[in-house]
Amino acid sequence: MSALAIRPPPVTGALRDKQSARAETFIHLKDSNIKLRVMIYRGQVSRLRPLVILNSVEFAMPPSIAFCEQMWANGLQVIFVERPGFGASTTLPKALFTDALIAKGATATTEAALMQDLMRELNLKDVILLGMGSANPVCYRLALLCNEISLSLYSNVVFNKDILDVFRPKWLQHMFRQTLQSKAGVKIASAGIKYRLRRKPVEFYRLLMHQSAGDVRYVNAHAADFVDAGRLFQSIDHATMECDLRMSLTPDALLKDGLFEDRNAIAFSGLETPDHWRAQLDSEAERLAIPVAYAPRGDFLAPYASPDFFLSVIKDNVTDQAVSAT
Amino acid sequence: MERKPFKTEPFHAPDRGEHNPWQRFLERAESALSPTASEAAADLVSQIEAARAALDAAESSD
Repeated sequence: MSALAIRPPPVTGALRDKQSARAETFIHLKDSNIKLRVMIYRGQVSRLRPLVILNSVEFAMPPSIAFCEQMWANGLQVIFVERPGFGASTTLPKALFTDALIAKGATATTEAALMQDLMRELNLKDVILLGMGSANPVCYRLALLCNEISLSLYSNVVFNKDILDVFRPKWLQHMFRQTLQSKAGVKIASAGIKYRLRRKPVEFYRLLMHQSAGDVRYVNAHAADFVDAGRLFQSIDHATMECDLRMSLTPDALLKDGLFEDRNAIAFSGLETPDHWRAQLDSEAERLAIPVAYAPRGDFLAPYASPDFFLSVIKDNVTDQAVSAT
Repeated sequence: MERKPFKTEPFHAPDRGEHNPWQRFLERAESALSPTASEAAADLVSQIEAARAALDAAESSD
């Protein structure tokens, strides 16, 4: 079969299931041709406090129904946003993907401005924001821009750390290094990951997350979501992937000493995170003045792998009664 | 050679003004930041200005 004949199969499963409580919808931003795919749990914005989640590069899927239900039972409505350039959401303009703009942080800031408009469009108030992995450079910008965010949680956040050595297996670490070296490196790495995700998506995620029993348990319990995530990954263009990885794996000038001093923000991670990563995170968190919460289970997916702990962190850090006990 | 039928749909020039909505998002974000005086806000304003300049340049070269 020629390379041109390879086409990603259509997305099926949870994202396509219109009957599901996780059915996606397209939000068209006012006076524009820009649309974002959003999963509003149970279909419509409710009176519950919004828990807005932005996806990481490796897993552009909403959390499981069980997680969403548990949040709902505790007064939180999950609203998952598929970021620009992932799956079906509109991509950022090409003009913003120059090396200089990515390095300056201008590309991530534009995405944050777009997200701010989305929150305005949905009329979301008193938001709890959860950034997953590579979404975090956008999320901490969004939290600075948007007054409606009352608590931000940055899960599996990198914060200028030298963490490439942490990634296992070694071929994955090599791929990430390639993405930082050149645009050709991004294309090679991206093609390699896409190839593996086309063939055996669930195995890919088990291998990627093998250092955390909690993550692997989540992958096994929701394997269909990881098949869909593998399919969605096929549609990520090189520019989006390059921007996401570079923002996460190279220093971000916005992260100055004490950045989070006056902010209601938490760096969220898991005790199953490798020691090197934890040491780097603790050191950077101290410099940036942000507390770190370590969940008992999980690494990449710590909030989803430890939902009880995640809820307890939220309850400890919000001031009103909107988040109720079960 | 068979002629193509005359098109009755309105003509659209999708490329012109493509960047305008992005400019609006950035403009709104910038104005929300302006009253604040923190160093982080100043950094974001500088990033917004860089993005807007790049979009302007792309728009005028379309």
